[in-house]
This record gives sequence, structure tokens and C-alpha cells, in this order.
Amino acid sequence: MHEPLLKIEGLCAEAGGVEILRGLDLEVKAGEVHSIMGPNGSGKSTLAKVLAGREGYEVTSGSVLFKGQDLLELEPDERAREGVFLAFQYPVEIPGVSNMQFLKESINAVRTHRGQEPLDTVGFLGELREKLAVVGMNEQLLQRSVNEDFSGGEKKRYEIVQMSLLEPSLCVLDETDSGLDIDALRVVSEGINRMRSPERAMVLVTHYQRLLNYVQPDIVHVMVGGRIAQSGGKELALQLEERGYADFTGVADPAQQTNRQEASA
Amino acid sequence: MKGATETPEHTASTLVELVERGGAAIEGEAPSWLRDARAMAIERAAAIGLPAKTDEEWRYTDPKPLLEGQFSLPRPGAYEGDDPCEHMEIDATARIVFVDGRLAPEHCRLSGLPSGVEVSLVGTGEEADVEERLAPIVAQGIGGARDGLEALGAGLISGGVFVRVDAGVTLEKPIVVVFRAEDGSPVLSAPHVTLIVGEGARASVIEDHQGAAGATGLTLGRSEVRVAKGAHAEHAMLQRESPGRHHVSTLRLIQDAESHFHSDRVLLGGAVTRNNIHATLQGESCEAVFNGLYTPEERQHHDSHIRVEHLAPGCNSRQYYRGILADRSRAVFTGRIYVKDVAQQTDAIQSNSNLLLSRSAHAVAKPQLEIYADDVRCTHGATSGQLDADAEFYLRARGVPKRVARLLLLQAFAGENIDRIENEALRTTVHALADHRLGAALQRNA
Ligand SMILES: Nc1ncnc2c1ncn2[C@@H]1O[C@H](COP(=O)(O)OP(=O)(O)OP(=O)(O)O)[C@@H](O)[C@H]1O
Ligand SMILES: [Mg+2]
Repeated sequence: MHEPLLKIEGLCAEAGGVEILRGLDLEVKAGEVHSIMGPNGSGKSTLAKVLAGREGYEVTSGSVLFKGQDLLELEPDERAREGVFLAFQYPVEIPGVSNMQFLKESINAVRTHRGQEPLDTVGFLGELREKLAVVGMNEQLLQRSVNEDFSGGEKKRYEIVQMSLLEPSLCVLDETDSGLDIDALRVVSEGINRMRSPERAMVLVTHYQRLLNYVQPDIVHVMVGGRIAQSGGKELALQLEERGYADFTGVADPAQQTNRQEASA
Repeated sequence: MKGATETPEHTASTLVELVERGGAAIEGEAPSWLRDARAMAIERAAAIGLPAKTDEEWRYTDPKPLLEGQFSLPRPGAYEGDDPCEHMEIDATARIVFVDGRLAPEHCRLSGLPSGVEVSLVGTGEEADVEERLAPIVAQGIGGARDGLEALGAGLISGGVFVRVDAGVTLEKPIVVVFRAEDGSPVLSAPHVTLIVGEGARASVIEDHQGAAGATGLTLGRSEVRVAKGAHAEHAMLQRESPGRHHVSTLRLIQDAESHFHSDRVLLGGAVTRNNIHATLQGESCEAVFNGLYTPEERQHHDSHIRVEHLAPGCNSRQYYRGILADRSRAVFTGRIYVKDVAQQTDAIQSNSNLLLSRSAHAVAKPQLEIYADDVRCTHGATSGQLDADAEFYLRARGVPKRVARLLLLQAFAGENIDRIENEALRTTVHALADHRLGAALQRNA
């Protein structure tokens, strides 16, 4: 049996004095695509941030093993160099730092860590052009500051560009599909699908079944109140789309409730 | 260089003692107009008083180390040693070098000036006939000084240059003046730079104040800039003195109608630094930009004190000052915009931002608006804070090491003002100096 790429056990975490993750378990094997769905505020982004090492999110108990090593011991940049990638729900604008500078620092930090030669400008541009083309982004963006004045959709596509440049082994995508128009969703999905490989795992946090039509998950989890409430195959996503989270939260959407009563009657 | 001679003017004294002794205290070989100017400055300082910590204008900067430190005046004669200066890779019209307040003739380049451009040396005993053009400006500076320290800076004049560009003449390349403090003994130097730009003319001067690591003493500098109608003038000052030396310098600017002025002031070195700007936009439709960066560290103190007076309608002024403070340093920014009743359609912006790298660093910002006209646009903004944690995390989440991520953010912050520096060579130099300083500051302020 293969050791899972990511193994989370009994994870509890808090931020700002609020307990958000409350005993979360999750195992992700290389090659798998998992999807995490769940109501607003259930802790999906918190899980993503804890995995990436965001300061201010404190793990109070539980463990996270990544490739068998204690992930929580590592600094955020070490985690990234080890192969953890978080596509942000809200990518950060950084005025004054050019995309060019940023991507070059980033890719060469990761390459150096892997024992690869740093890329020179020509090599770097070559790689980058290819990745930009996949998501249909314009090279002129490179002259601008990181994410500055990018449209919502451009920010999300740019996350995929970074992901494909860095070739991480664990990709956590936090609502990368939100705010995309129909064509962009297809393009981004294609970018994600190209990254699927037997060595790589993906965790897609999403609210919509639509993304999962393009990127078919192996396992779907429902997260409620800071833990995984149920896991299943891709049909679980369809079921959620239809019935909402009422089964898990106990608070029903009245419209859905009536539908269901009618259905059972 | 060490072991000062025993003539009375070279024995150390404090500025307080100098002012108490009166105008006769300074003697030496200077020409008579200069001796008169020095006496006048001392008398004026005695009359209006040296600054005290109780003065509103000195509330956040204790003038005591400036006033009560023992300083000796520059030794007479020229500097004849090797060139100790750090030089920028700069294409200059002329280069003038002073070391410890003394002209270094062998290291100056003054030949081949374009016609219509005058560059005269001041206070070296060698000047020809600059007196009649300069003396009134010096007298005006002394007369208009708002405290005794400024009066001394305006009139003591240990050396400097007088630059005049005739109407319609364009000087493509800047005139660079280097003031270097080399001596370990506490020399008081009073560098004086004048830039007179005639109607429709264009010129720029760069002052580079620098010092050997162990230099002490005090720089009491003065820059007088006059921009005639429709002229363009640039003045830059790089203050990279040694951390043991104090630095007070005042830029006095008077602009006529439709003229343009750009100031860059970069404060890196010095123990106590006071950066004064007093600008008077007296003609209609002038534009003035005051761009500044300060990066105090350890126990350095950088105080910028800016007064921009709009006396005529339709002028624009911009004050952009940014600081990065490390260790236990202090920074003060006081920016006053004064708008006279007739100065309608004034458009004045002032912005000051500080980044604090350590909990022990402190920044004070004091914007002051004094507006007597009703149809004006005056805005001011001041911010003070730490590096953006979200931005730092984003960079680190892409594998960029913490120190590099923080340096990128600091460079971005400082870069906004560094990139505004007009002269390319100076810009490059400041980028390099700032990168080096900030990199080291980050290691200490992890
Ligand atoms: N730094 C913080 N300080 C205090 N509370 C926080 C902090 N971060 C998150 N929370 C709270 O924790 C809860 C979970 O937030 P989180 O962002 O993880 O939810 P989410 O599942 O990603 O929601 P959404 O679907 O809306 O993106 C929310 O109630 C949120 O307000
Ligand atoms: Mg979220």
C-alpha cells in the first residue's frame, strides 16, 4: 500500500480566538482528485490556509503529514518549495512588485530546492509563455504588478499559471471557479486537467457542481462545522446540488424542504 | 589631517558659544563680503535665538546635540589628498568636490561649460566676482531664517558653488557637488549651493553629502534655488553621511510664474538629520514636486520639515515622502501647505507613509494646512504601519523565502519614490544603496 500524499488526523484550528476546524480527518493519495464542498463559513478556506501555513491560524491539536513528514513544522515558503500549492480564494494584489520579478523569484526558489538549475530570463520566458497560453492570458500582464488591477477572472487564471509553473505535488484550489465566466471556467478546468498526473493530488474547494463536470473528482467531501461530515463519489456532488446542505446542517432551506416533502408524498 | 592647529578659529566650540561670542568670533582669510555674511548670520541667530526643544517646530527633534556638541571650523586652505569620495556613474556637466569643508581642486572638473552657464566656487578664497550676485541672496536667506540654526546655515558658508543658467539656456546634464566628511574630528561645515535658473532655462544640481565611516561633526547646509518664469529646475540631495555626523540642511526655493521645479531628497545617513524645505510659489501656474525617502536605522533620527507657500493662483505642489524605519530609529514628517487668499485654484497634495520594521521604531507625521483661499484642492494623507502580512504570505506561499519576500515588499514601497528621482544615475545609485541597507535592516529586524 502507498502512503497517502496528505494525511490529516483530528485537526483542530482556531483564528482570532474562534475555533474553526474541529477534528478534521482527510486522506489524499497521489493521483487522486478530491472535492470539498460545504456551506459558507464551514472552514474550507481555513483548512486551505492551515495547509499553506498562514500566520494567525493556530493548530490546537491533530496532525498533518505530507509525504510522510510533519507539514505543520515547516514555514509557508518551505511548504511551497516542498510541493504544496494553494490557489487563493482571494489572490493578493501587491503594488510595486512586478509579476516578472515575482514569478522568477518563485520558480527559481522552487527549482533550486529541487536541485534544478535556476532558469535564466530566456528559459523562464519560454516556460511562462507556454503556461500563459494554456489559460489564454496576455504576456503584457508581466509588466504590471502582482494581481494589481487584474479582473476577478484574470486573478483566478493567474493562479493556474503559477500552479503550472511550479509543478507542485499537492494542489489545493480554493474556489478557483468562482467569478469565472462560462468560457473562462472551461479554460481554467482545462488548465487543471492538464496538471492531473499519477504523482500529483488535487483538492478542489468549490460551491458548484459545474466545475466538477469538467474536472471529475474521485472523491467528494462535505465539510460542515469544521469537519468532514460525509464523503462519497462524484454522485454526492449531484445530490448536494439538488438538496443543499440541509441533511448535514439540520437547517433546511424552506423551498427545498417543500420539494422533498412533495417528493416523498 | 588629525591634530587640529591651535589658531582660535579651529579650536572646538559649540554653536551656542559661537553665537554668544558674536560676529567677531569668526575670522580667517575669507573675503570681506563673506566675513560680513558670517557675522550677520551669527547676529541674526543671536537675535532670533537658537531652537529649543520647547519650540513647536522642534517638538519631535531635540536640537541639543546640534547646539551643544563641540565642533571645529574647517581648516584653511585647499584639500590636497587623494580623492576619498564615492562617485556615482554620472554624466555631469561639472563636478565640484569639497572634503571636510575644504575645496579639493584636483578632484573638481569645471572646464568646458556651455555658454550661458556660470559655475563659480564660493568661500574658497578663490572666487572672482560672485559676490555681487550671491551676497543679496545670502542676506535674504539670513533675514528670512525662522530660527537661529537656519540663519547660521544660510550665512556661515564654509564653501560651495554658485550656479547660474542664463535665460533660454538648457543644461542637459546635472552639476554634481560632493561634500565629503573625512576627518574623525568633529568638523562643522556649512556647504552653500545656489542655483539660479533664468527665464525659460533648464538646469539641475545634485548634492551628494557623504562621509567616511568614522566621520563626526555637523553639516549645516543651505541650497538656494531661484526659478524664473517658465524655467525648469531640478535639485537633488543625497544624504549619506556617516552615522556619527549630524546633518541639517535647508532648501530655500522661490519660483516665478509658469516654472517647474522638482526636488529629490534621500536621507540615509547621519545621526540627527533635519531636512528643511521652504518653498515659495510666488508666480502663477507653477509646478513643484518634493519627493523624499528616508530610511533611518539603529538610533538615527530623520526629521523632514516642509513648508510650501502658494502665493499666486493656479499652482500645483506635490509632497511625496516615504520612510522605512528600522531598529530604534525615529522619523518626523511635518508638512505645511500654506495658501494665501489670492491663490485660487491651488492644487496641493501631500502624502507621507511610513513602514515600521521594528516595534521600537517610531514615526510622527504632522500634516498642516493653512488655507485662506476658497477655491482650492488640498489633500493630505499620512499612513504608518508594518509590512502587509497578506502580501508577504502570498509571496511565501509561492516558495519565495521570507527574507526575499520582505525585501521585495520593501523595495516596492521605497521604489515608488526612488523611481520618481529625476536623474537616472542618481536613481540607480539610490536603488543600490537602499537595497543594501534594507537587506541588512531585515536581517536585524527579523
Ligand atoms: N482570521 C480569522 N479570525 C476570526 N474568524 C475567522 C478568521 N478566519 C476565518 N474565520 C471564521 O471562520 C469561519 C470559517 O471561515 P472560512 O473562510 O474557512 O469559511 P469557508 O468555508 O471558506 O467559507 P466560504 O464558502 O464562504 O468561502 C467563518 O465563520 C469565518 O468568519
Ligand atoms: Mg472560503
